[in-house]
Amino acid sequence: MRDAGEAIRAAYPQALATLTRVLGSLDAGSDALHVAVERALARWPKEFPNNPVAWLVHTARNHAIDQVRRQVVHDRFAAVAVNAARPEVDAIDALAPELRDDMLRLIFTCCHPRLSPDSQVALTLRTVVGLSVDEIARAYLVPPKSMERRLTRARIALREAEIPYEVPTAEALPARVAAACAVIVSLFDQGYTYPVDCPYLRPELCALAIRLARLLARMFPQDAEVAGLLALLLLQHARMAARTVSERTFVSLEDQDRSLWDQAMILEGRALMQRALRRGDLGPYQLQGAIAATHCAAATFEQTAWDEIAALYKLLHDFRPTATVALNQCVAVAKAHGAAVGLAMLANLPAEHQRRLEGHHRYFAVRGHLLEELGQVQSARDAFAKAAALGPGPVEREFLEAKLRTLGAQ
Amino acid sequence: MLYAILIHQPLGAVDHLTPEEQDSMLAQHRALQQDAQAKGTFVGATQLMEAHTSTSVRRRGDKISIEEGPFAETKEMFIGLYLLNCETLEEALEFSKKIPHVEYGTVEVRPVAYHEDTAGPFAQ
Repeated sequence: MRDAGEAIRAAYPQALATLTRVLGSLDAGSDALHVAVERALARWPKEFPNNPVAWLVHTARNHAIDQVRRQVVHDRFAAVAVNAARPEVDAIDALAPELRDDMLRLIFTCCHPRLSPDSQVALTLRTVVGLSVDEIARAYLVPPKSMERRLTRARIALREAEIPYEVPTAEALPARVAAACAVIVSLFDQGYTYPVDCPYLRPELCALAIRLARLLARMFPQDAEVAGLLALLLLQHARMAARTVSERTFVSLEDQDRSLWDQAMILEGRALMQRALRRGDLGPYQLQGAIAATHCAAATFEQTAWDEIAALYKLLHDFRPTATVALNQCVAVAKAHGAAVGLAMLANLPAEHQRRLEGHHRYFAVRGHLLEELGQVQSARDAFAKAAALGPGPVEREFLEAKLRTLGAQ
Repeated sequence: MLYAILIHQPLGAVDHLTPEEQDSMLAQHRALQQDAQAKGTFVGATQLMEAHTSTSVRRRGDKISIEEGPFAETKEMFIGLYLLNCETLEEALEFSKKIPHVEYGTVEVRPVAYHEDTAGPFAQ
């Protein structure tokens, strides 16, 4: 028997996207879905539905219609609302393939230019993907309280702006693509990295992100960055099976069985990259795609073209001068030119990057690896201990603790 | 007679299928290919990537242009083909009826005027 909570979580975004369109607003959609989720929690453990999304939509819609009918008795003005919603209501029963575009419609609504870029992403992750505030805060390296405030502001802005639930016009669309791309990446990363409360990856989030990216790529076939984004996701997701050979185990790039990589995805990613790069309209997604393609092109970890990867990260840092990009550049430089060079580069990062990284476990894990490689066991152990103390997910913590045990024995 | 079995399908027509359903479609293709191989009619099978990955080359006068596209502007797009060496049109149609994409798009059967293959049955 499948876990009802997990199934609800997986079905939630698509159900919400469809209900928002059918019922006319995000608030109405969320309220109706809330009732359906409560019923699902009671019902599904006994009787699991064939199509969880359809079950949630159907139940929520019926509840909403009942509510409106009841209201009509008391309030004749409500009839207007029913009529407005009715033409769409009948279409839902079939859950036709085109209704899946509701996801995209919801994303573009949440990615509306009247919202700040940070709010767009946060709102989409909370609403479209159904992530918890803590998870979003973690993904963006900010305290949960600030994320909560950001979300509240975003919801108010969305309501006050009376943003229509529609795919924007042809002229307005491209302006929103960049924000939608960022949202898709966040969604992908949530599936690709270990969440706080959960010992396994969620490839279904990655698959959802790839589908959304593919939809965007079809809508904007001449946008090199959208193609780069799709390529990037495909080239990363191609390695999923090798990273998840068993639950609760972190398989680093170095230890992956490369024969498990999905060659069809790599092929598609490479084809997209080659055509996108011909345009000469370089951007951060294409650069990240090129980095992923370079990893995928190496038959073994040792054969990885680290020099090329370091150069690509340097270019990427021009577009995205973030602490994470700088950290990755240091890792690539260390692989290409030795741990000492990498460590020196890490120590010389701009103060702004240092400040951000010092709250993040990966920074100390990287330091630990480089120090270990240089034989500085005590310093390496300190770094790994610091990384473990900064609260990574359970799988990464186990990895770090195993590291600590090994180093302690030396 | 060599026949090209051209498969056309609306963009995204099978997106909603679950991974299991997608796998089942692939399995049907594999079974069809094995069947055609056993009959000796199989010449080749090709699946194309989506139209948004296309690049077009044209020459007008002495000017060569290389442009992206054509993109899927029509309702259905060309997604792949089989090449079969059949005795009759009927045989090619029988094969085509079993292609899973007939459910979502159109499968066009067109006789081939010329084909050269360095490895296949038409190799010199």
